Amino acid sequence: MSSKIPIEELLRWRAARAEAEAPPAPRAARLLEMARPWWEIRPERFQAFVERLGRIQVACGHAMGEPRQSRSGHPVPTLIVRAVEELETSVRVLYLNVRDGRLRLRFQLDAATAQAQERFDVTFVSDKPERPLLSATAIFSLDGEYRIDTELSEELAHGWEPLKVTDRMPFRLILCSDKDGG
Amino acid sequence: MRFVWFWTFWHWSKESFRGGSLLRNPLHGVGSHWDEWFRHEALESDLRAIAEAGRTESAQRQFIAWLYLHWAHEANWSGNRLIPRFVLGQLAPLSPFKKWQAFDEYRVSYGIGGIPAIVLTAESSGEAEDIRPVEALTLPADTGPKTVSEGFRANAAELETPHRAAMNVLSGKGLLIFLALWLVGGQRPYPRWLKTLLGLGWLSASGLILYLLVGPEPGERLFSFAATLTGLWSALGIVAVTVAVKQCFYAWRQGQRWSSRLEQSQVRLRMNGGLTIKGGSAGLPFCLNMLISLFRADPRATDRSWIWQRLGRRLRAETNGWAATGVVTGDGFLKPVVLEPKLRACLQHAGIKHILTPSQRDASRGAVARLIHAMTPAILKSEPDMPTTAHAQLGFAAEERRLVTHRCRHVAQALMALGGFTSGWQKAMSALAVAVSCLMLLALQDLLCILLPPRAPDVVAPASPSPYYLWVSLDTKHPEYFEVVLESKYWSNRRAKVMRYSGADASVRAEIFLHRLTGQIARDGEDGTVWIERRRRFLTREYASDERVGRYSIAYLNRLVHD
Amino acid sequence: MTDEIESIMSQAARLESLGTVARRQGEEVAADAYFRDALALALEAANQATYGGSHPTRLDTLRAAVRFALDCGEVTEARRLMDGAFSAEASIKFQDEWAQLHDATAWPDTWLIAAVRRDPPDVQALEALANRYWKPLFGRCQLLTLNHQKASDLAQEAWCRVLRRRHALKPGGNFPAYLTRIATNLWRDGYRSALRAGPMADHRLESLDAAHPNEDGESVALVDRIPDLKALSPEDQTLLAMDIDEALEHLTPQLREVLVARFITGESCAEIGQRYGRTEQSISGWVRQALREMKLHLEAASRGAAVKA
Repeated sequence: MSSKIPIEELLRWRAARAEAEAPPAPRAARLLEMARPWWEIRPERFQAFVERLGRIQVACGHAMGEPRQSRSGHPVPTLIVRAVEELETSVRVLYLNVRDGRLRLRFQLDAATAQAQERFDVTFVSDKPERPLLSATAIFSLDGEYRIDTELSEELAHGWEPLKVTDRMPFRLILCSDKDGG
Repeated sequence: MRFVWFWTFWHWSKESFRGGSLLRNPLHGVGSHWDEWFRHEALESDLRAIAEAGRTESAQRQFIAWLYLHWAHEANWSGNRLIPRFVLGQLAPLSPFKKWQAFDEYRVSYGIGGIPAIVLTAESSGEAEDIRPVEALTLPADTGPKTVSEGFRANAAELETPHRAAMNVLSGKGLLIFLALWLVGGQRPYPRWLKTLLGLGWLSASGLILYLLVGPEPGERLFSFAATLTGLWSALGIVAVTVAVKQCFYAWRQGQRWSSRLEQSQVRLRMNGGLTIKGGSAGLPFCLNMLISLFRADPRATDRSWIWQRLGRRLRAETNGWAATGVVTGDGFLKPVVLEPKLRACLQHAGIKHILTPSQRDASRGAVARLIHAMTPAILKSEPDMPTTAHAQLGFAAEERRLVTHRCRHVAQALMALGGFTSGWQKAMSALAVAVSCLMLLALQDLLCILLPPRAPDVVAPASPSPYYLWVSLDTKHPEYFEVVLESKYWSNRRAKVMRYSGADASVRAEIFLHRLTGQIARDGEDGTVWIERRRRFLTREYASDERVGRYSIAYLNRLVHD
Repeated sequence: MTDEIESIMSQAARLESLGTVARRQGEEVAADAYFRDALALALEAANQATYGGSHPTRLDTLRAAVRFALDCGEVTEARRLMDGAFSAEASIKFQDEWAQLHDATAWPDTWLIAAVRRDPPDVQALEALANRYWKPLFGRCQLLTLNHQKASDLAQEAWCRVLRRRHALKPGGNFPAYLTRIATNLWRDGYRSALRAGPMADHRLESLDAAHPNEDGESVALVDRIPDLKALSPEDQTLLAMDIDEALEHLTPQLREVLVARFITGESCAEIGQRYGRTEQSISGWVRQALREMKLHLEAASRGAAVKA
């Protein structure tokens, strides 16, 4: 006697079996711990990065003194953290839009520095005082450009909405390329 | 209005740029602007319309055609034909265009073509893959660097120097060198019949000169010959100078315009492969491709200048079989590079027939022939079981592989080679014209005196203070075109040239030494007539003189006051 | 209940309705405001009931206040009110209405999410929410990754993402679908960066868009010895699970994901198409293709088993 069993049924059966074999759910405390921003988990590492970030001098030349020339943008000091190295560099913000509580930002990284990284975990650090503002993921777009699309808190959304790409950015960036780096 | 969604995007880009959301202008940032707009700003209706435009390949091609024909014109980019290509190239790797088959060709190339560079990888000894296609696009300047690399990495100097060299060739010393090379041996914008006629003209002129120098005595026909020669040479000279000056002027003027355009532009150099360029040996192809990009951006700009027009036409149409290598300085001079692996790469690439190199010994024809010969056994060795005849055929085919090297000291020479300007015939004609002209200039006075003889001079003081000499002083500025002849029954007949004497008795005169004829016993020292004859010369040759323009007696001459 | 208290409570009920409607429409800020106003009214009513009303009235108002507090995520306040109620009347703890309020595991998703959104998030609520959806999430992750450890990691990572963005959670939304989507996106991003030009390449997608004949490829004929899934022995179940996993492994990641979305998560082809930027017909074709391939592999596996037997 043969019976035809729909594949959907097989899949549902398999899913149910997987659910039955599932390990116990992680404790809430553990989940909250895992979800904590890395700068709370490793405050000393964050502080070290922030200090290094603060020392980065970006040469803008006369662009800073002459508003007419600011169409080239103000480079944003950036620290790239990899497992084996940390690089001081800067990025150029190409697009900035804050609307409905969302930040859409595009920045450009030098191709050699980016090393064809698909994504970075980006931490925005305010200038003064140096505190972490938010964390987001930057995804590679094209030609050394990365895009960020993330939600902002009300405070940040309100403060950043009037920002233009030609303004000096009120933040610096820490880019982490892998979990260890952050 | 078709493709409204693209206009919507374009206006969003412009407004966002104006409003300070976007850093780069709509053109330079078109790729990333599209990415943002498509992801976050496009409305449902826009997305549906875009999906509809991409539904079939035919619809996709209609969009591409619309971009070329309508959008470029209405967005005021009609002065630069390369801009639609740039836009398509930037959009091609992005959604949804990355799935559109009609965009396939734009994903790897702008479709412009150019002169490939020969860039060896670290472990390569010269392979066909080392021939790297290079394309260049000129766009309106942005706030970024003047030259941008795409698909490869190079430091700023490796991009700036070819840029300066290109500027130099358009409006600096390089242009002078280029025009000088063209003047000396470059093809002229004559139709074939005129070229033949002019050639015959110069040959005729040289023939006439030779005839006047070494031919039989022309006699009364001297005037006709001189007139013909002068007229012919003048006409040829006027044609040559007019054409040269006109073409040089138009070339200079257009070069100035292009130089100005290049100064106000951003050049995007594309060479796929993700290489990091080390050393400047790609400088020459980069420089040439920058020039090509100017020609392609606005081909009609060359209309007034035949030189640039020809060069532009050749560069647009015939760069496929060419490659180039060489370090270029800001002045456009080329420096030597390691050449053998690059020649090997060219020989292994079936499409490359010509290579532009710096002027160095290992780019000579003999060196290339030796390289071909050295490469042949490798081909034969790889087929040990082939019959002898096939071996021979293979060897013959390998030997037949040709690569023409064009050695250049300057980018201008490279342009001469690329434009096919160099002409052996023109060089020969130029040499002949220069030689003829030099002779004509030297003989100009002689010819003028033949054609427009100076007026017959009068005899003036001073007379000779010595009784043994007869001075015939003449009021003429052209002593070399007169001579004096003494005919006398008492004195020996004498012929004396008129010369300019300085000193106490300065004058233009002929001095005749008086020698009494033997057997003369009568004391008739004033017997004799002095004739003033015209001399006719052409360079080193003097013609028989048969024109007497003055006659004076010795008595008259003796009675002239001695100053 | 005195008239005044009744009036206050009816106002609070109206506010609660408005809050519910706002929440359903995704207007969380407005919903929160309505619930807070309702809470304030309920507390006022409870106060009046303490001094002027009856004991049952007070308990009713307190119960309402607890509900409103849970609606706007004020779990601490809710517990305080419950403690107050239990101290006034210990026996109510075992009443159904109060038991449901007291036991976080019995809360609906809206209350749990509202509690988790707060700073700091309520640990008990989070625990209840995690326990409620852990197994279904894990099951989906298992079908995607086909690896127990990776499925666990993926599921935990999905929870981390959700918690990092917990302020944006909508109590009125479909939380399990959101959680599944996060997990799927994570899995897809991880796979894409690992195999950039491999099975995730777009040309593979395009080949799937070719028209497929509309045949019945959705069932597989197994050999006679497996008449009923429920009747399988543990060993046979293990083998069957392995066969299914192997068949899933032979699918491209997209097909696998589409299959899981369609038949496990329950998304329609239109909804899946929206995510991929494809039409419903394309997705339908992909599903048929995936089923066909599954069928081929499962039948091959079953023939192999028959030969060994």
